[in-house]
Amino acid sequence: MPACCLLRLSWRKKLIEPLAESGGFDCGHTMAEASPPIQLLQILEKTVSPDKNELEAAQQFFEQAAQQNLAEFLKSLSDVLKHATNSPVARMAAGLQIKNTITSKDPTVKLQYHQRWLSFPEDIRSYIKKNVLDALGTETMRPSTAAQCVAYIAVAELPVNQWNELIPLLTQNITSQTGNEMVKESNLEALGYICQDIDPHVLVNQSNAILTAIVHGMKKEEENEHVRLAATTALLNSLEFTKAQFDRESERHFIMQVVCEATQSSNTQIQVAALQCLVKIMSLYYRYMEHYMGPALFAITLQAMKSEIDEVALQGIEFWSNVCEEEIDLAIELTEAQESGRPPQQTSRFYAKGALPHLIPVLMKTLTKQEECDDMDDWIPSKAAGVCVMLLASCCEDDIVQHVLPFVKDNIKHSEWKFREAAVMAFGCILEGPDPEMLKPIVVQAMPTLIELMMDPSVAVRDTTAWTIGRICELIPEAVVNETFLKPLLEALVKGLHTEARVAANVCWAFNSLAEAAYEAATGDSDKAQEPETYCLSEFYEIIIQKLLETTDRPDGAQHNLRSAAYEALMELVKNSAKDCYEVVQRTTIIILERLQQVLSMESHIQTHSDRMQYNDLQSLLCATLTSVLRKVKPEDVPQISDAIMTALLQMFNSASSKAGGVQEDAFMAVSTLVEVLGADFIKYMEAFKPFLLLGLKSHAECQVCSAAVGVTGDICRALGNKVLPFCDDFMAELLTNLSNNNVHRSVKPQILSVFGDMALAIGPEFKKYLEIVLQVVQQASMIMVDHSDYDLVDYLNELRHGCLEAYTGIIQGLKGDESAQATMNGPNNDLSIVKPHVPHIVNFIIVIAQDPDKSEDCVTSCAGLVGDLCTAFGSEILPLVDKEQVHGLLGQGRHSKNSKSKALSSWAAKELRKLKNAVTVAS
Amino acid sequence: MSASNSSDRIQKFKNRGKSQEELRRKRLEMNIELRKAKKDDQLSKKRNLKISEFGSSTDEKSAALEMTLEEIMEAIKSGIPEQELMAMTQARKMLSREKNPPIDKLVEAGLVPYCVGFLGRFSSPPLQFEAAWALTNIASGTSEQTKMVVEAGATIPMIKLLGSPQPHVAEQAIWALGNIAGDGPLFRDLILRSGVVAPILQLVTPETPVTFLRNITWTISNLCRNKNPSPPFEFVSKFLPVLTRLIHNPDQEVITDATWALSYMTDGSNDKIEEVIKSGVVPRLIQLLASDHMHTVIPALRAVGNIVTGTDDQTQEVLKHGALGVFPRLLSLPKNNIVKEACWTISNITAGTVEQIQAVINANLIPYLINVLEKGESRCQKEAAWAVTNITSGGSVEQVVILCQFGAIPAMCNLLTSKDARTLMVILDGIHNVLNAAQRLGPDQVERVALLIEQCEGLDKIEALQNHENEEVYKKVYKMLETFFIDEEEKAEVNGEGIDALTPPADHYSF
Repeated sequence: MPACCLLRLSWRKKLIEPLAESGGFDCGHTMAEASPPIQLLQILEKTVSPDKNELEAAQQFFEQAAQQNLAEFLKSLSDVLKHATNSPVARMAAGLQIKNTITSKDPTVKLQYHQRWLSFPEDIRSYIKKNVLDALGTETMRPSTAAQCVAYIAVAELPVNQWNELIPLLTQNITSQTGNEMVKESNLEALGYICQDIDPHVLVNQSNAILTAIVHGMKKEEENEHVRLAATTALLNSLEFTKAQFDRESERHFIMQVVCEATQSSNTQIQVAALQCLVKIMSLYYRYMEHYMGPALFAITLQAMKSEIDEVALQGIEFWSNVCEEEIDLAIELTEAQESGRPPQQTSRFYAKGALPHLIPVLMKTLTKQEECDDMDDWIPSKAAGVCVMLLASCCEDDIVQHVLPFVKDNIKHSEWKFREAAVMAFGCILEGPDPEMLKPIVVQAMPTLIELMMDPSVAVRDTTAWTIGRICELIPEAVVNETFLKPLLEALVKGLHTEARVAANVCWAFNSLAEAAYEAATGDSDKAQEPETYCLSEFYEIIIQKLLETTDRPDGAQHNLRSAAYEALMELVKNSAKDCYEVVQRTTIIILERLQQVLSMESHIQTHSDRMQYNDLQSLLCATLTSVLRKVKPEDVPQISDAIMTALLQMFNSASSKAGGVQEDAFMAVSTLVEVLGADFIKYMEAFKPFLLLGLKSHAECQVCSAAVGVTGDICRALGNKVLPFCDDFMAELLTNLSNNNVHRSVKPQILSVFGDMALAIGPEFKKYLEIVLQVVQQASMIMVDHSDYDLVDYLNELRHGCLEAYTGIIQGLKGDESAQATMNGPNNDLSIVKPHVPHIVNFIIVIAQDPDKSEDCVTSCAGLVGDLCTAFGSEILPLVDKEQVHGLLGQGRHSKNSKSKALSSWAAKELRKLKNAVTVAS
Repeated sequence: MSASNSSDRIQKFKNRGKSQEELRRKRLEMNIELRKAKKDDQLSKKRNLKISEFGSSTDEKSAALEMTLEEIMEAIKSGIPEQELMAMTQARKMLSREKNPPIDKLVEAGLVPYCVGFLGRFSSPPLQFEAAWALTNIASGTSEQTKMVVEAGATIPMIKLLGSPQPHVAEQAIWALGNIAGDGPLFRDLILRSGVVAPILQLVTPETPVTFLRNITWTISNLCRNKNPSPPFEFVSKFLPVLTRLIHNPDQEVITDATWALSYMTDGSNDKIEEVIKSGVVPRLIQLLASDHMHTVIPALRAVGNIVTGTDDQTQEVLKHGALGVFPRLLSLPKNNIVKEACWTISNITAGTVEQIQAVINANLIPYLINVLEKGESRCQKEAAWAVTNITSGGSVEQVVILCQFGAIPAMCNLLTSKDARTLMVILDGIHNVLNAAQRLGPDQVERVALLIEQCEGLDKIEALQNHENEEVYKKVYKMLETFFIDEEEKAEVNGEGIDALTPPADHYSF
């Protein structure tokens, strides 16, 4: 992800990065003996040497020293850092070496480093800690490395209740009247790093002291800007755990006052950091902001938005983007609360709506500050303004239109491209949020101008126009899918495909939305409608496909995602094609297949890393396109192409590119689709495919690949039915291994349980041989409990339970068999009797789910299905188990669900249950 | 809860977020969706279960798709009661689709006459119900579609259905009639003259369920609505006793629609207003003016506003019940429409007697009017200008002085740059009247007023208006300048006496 230093002031980014970890350069074995400090100093100074050999030699030395006796080495380093007489470079290098042995960006490595540090004897740690603390405020270089050492040791020690005297010490150093400015600054820096990296819970109890120190450093009376900046940055990092202070009005007032004052600093960095604080405070403490909004925050942020300094303007805009996001969330919360008839926890104050008349003019002006050549990753005020207008549109809905439209009208034909582009951008931004019916006439009115602007001399204008047209197709399709505009629009778009990559890419996205809109217009709003005989794109279909195919081949396809965009458009057009386009789809299939074969034959010519990336991407895209054409091909035509497709896919699995996770995922998806369209006929490829499938199942470390393989396994079971039997032993072995392997990501596990169900359903009574172990595993999974305050874990629990329910369902359905008549008063058939001992657990499991307030809709549905299955499979003997209040409650809930599937299954299960009850009553 | 950073934001810029990874994730999701559907399908087959068998909402949808238009029409013409009902239900469901119901298709297929026929089928209330519903939906379409329903003769049988023993049938019928009446004066009068009034009056009983009552009230309001021409008063006035009760109903929707009906009835000649006043609704209307529900305030204000367009006595009827007490609130609401209508209402009161003007002053409304003049939206300003100018023309000299003490002159001058010629003329009349009033107090007072006008740059504006394209404006300006502003240098001496009378005192309430 491209880092953007403009927005976030992050000191870590300014650090000199540690030397590359991989040494590999073999030299200097003579340095292995004990190193006198002088030598250490020299080597440390070499870490900034321009000579690569010296650098590597130094690195080599550090590694060896660390290996020999890390603790002693760190002690020596801390000595170097402590003594102000050493050269600044040596001290800094020593500090960085210490830091890099204690922390890492990789969370796993970090944990290991923490444990290693904590394993050092107490006296050594104390020695080092004293040294680094003493060094605080004695360095002449910024940022302070001693502060980093202090902080990262603290991040390791504070959570395990050690070094408890540190925070009081730091805060005291900051607030002490006698301390010099360097001391204050470095202590604040240390505090800031700690706040940034540590689990907020650890510091909650000391939040008061920390905040007092920080605010002390931030006050406008503080004359030293370095101190003020360090304090402001520290505040930014501490906001998450200072809730208690924000809850108290007087303290909140004081913090807000200090932050607001800091936004008025003449120092840009302080100003930016203070504005960042406001942004974050707005998210975290929205409910308290009413008091500050009118008198302060509104004016401060509006002024910031108007700033000539990009970093400041960006923060001003970010503030309002953030307000919008908060208020959009609050609106959702309100709807949810109303639906469930309770008051919302928090209510929106509609700041965005209220500020609209003031924000829009500033944002419109900012939109005109764009640059001619659009660097994709640059985050500049004009782009931020665009995103902010989009968020305002989502937040304020209809209200925004009247404010933005005059600007659009006045500038869309302006003589300067910047104004034209800004006008189109503004128009594109407000298309989502306001009522489409309200926008429609406006869009219709604008269409001729937009089509004209596709030929604008400015590339930026055409780029944005193409994007806007894409949004219109997506959001207000009726405005373009009509006789007036469709043809001229298509002409303009096709022409756009031949222009600059950035414009062409946006044109592709427009085709993407247009295809869907055109198809929907032909089928109406019902989603299961039949493929229409024809539709409005039919007469242009062939030429569009041809042009898109040409676009995918453009030599500059790697720029601006053009190639992916073109392939995506192709896929969408294939997916959304009418019957009279079938011939073109068929021809496209052949072309894609040929391309895939050609690409595969190029493998050996790949030389550079970037070639490899492009090659992999291309394979992925071709695979995905094949998947989408396969879904469209008539069943009778599949056999003609399936051999060629499967051959190509097998070759892909076999090639080096299959090491790239993404390619494998797409390849598995293509197989999955082929399985679906071929059904039982897929068996002819099983022998050839099996090794790759098993390899996929063994990809323990790559959870997406593993997950894709598990999915395909289930698909194969369903498609092959009992013909899958010969392969089941192998599948089962891998699936069970995965379940017991801790390296396999947990997200794969629920899926595996569900595949057990698929397999049981496929092979019926033959599943008996796995029954004991599978039931044991599922039972174990069904008893897992999680911490319900963690939403991720609750989601996971629901998925896991859903997997268990699917496994049980498959097993019971499979063993019951197809025609073996419904269970009667005589009881279930023989195969089922093996499951019988487990039924009490199964029903209990259902009851546990029924009582869980966080259960998912999927779980309710599957439970209902399972109850019905149990009733039909086991008959009246099961009645005492299932005829329970909780079970009836669950079915009742399902029947009142909005989900039709849940409704249907619950009604069915309730009916089956009632049948059993009636039968018993009649019998008795 | 952490603040989003730039890399998240940039994903939202144009199509930046559509990376290979993101697109693959979407493909995966779709694959999983398809897989899930396949699985469900397989299980449903095993369970011998059709989702559509259960759950009424899906049931309706799938059933509606099962019959083609031809099949529906065939069944409707079949003469077999079961077939007719089923087909009628299907047709009604098609017409009840939220998005683009196929009204035209069904009308072209010849559905309407059959529906009308079914209305008379008292042996099958369900069929009557479905037919009435279908016609309701057709009549809710374009005027052309409404016309089809009327021309097929639906009105009389529909009115008969109001007497149906099945409340839901009667409810559907009143709804259909409301739709037809709402189309315009022609069909409204047709229905009124077809004897709809008496059956409607009978439907309103203390036992009528509230949803039904809402439909009835809404239909009454549609029957009273629209001008050119207004509905025959001899018919609609019969609704007055019922409306008098309905505006006291606990249901807000009922109150609102009943109030609308009253507002339509008062929109006309003074004898109509007299009838409405006689029915005794005025005190309640004034209560409703103070309602928290803006939907109710609007028609109540319209009704009250209409009444004060009547005679001075009729206006007095409104004042007697304390209406003016509500206006400070109305004039401060952030709703331009209400402020506009409130100013309009006051302007009709200040067009009344000196006592009535005094009532407006005593209710302390002047500062509010001035505020609207100064800061209001242009349509509100126009009405406020009328209200103020009416005081200057109909009020006593003392009243004009009071008006000026509240700062009316700068506020009026403020509007001299209005783009609307009508507003300009009203304001010019007002200023002229103030100057006239000053003249009656003596030449010194004219000086004071003229100075005040000059101080707020009013004179510049008046002079600028000499170039106005509208001749009447020009004439008024010319006359005013000629009468009051000639030799201004000569008359510019300031006389200390009497100045207090016309400049705003520090405390607005010290008069």
